[in-house]
Amino acid sequence: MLIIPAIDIKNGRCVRLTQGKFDDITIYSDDPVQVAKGFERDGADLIHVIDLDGAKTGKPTNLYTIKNIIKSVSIPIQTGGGIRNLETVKILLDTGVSRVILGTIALEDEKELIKILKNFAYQVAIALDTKNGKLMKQGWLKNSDKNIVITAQKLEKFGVKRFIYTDVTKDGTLTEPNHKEINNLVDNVSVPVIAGGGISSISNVKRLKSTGVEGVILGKALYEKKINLSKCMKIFDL
Amino acid sequence: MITIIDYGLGNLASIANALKNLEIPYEISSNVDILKNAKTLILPGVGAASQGMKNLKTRGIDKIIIQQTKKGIPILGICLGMQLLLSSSEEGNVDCLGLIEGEVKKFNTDLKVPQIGWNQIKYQNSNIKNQKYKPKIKKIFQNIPNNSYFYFVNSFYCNPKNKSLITATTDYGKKFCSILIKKNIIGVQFHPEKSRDVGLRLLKNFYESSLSF
Repeated sequence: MLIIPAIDIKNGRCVRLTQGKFDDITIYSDDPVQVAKGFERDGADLIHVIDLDGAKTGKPTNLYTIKNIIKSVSIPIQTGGGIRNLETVKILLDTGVSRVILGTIALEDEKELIKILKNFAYQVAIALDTKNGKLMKQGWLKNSDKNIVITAQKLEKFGVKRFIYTDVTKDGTLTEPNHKEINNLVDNVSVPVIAGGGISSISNVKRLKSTGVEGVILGKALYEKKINLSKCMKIFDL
Repeated sequence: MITIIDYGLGNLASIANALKNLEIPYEISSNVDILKNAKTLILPGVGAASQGMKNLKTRGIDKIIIQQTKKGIPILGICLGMQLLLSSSEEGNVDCLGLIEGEVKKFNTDLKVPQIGWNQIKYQNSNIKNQKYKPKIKKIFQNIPNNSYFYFVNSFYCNPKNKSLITATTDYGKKFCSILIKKNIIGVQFHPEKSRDVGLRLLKNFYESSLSF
């Protein structure tokens, strides 16, 4: 199972929000590149980088920082936040990003999504960000009112190869993930699911592993030192 | 006993852990005398083919692998270990062990990065039926259904000249060889030791089939 550390970028800085609220923000570092290097040193196989400004505005805003991260580490990077069309997907993949994460576009522009999947199905993961079972979009500021499982199954039919699940209400709270919803999602789709949002302990991670997720995303738990990344990787190496 | 070849590259600990969990006896060695007497080999590998071949040659292990496989000793090549079995690799333009004729190629010269994560294997049934390898080797697929997910992390893939050696393919925009088998030589592009129950099953099946060689 992949243990994936997260770096959220706002104004070029490495931050964590609570429940996606832009006014509930903690800045952890002025230098996301150093944070990425640290994760690489700890043994990470993949880093999850989110452009928060991009997610809010609908256009990648921290591309410069993302490029620097890619230049500075040799492990794959997956990134999301404001990627809304095929052109932007191409730009990011050319930059050296391993996988792009699409959220809003899967809910608002199926035609564009299908175009993207036609060329890059294996380089795309769809973000399923939920609030009470309904999918959020546009930087988690708008509610699409769409049901997570129904939408996921539809997207799978379009050729989506991977999902990344986050419970918005749990994200950044250092409580625990939404196990019930994650279980339900994994049981009702056949492609890999990466899960995150609220993970605060090794036992949370253990439970997610038995659920059958492909990977887990760790955010605040790492920054607040509730989970030690290299220790965690050793435990779940198998 | 399975002998895991230590040539300085590869996640030996993960493989050892997997075998330990399966209660399969194993040893890890870089010693040519030990390798010469091994009954079953695993050639692991993570990293670049050029470094891999360099490491094998400086330790004299390349010759042993060729010698032993020609004798019929079963060998499982994992990830880079599978790629080193071929004639050559585009990664570093290097000559490899040459046990399987063919070249190791990059997925897509534009995309710089590896596939990472689970992907599915699809058995090439006509190849499996027509292969003249011993039925014992078919044990490797026991209880591993078609379309099973395995863990991959690779930018390169094997392109064997003899397509009938391709036992399973995987789709990553392009279909590539994820399992190849030539008599006692088995190559898997994925990491069975990191592929949960199906991966462990494959390792167990490999070990059990190797006992009857």
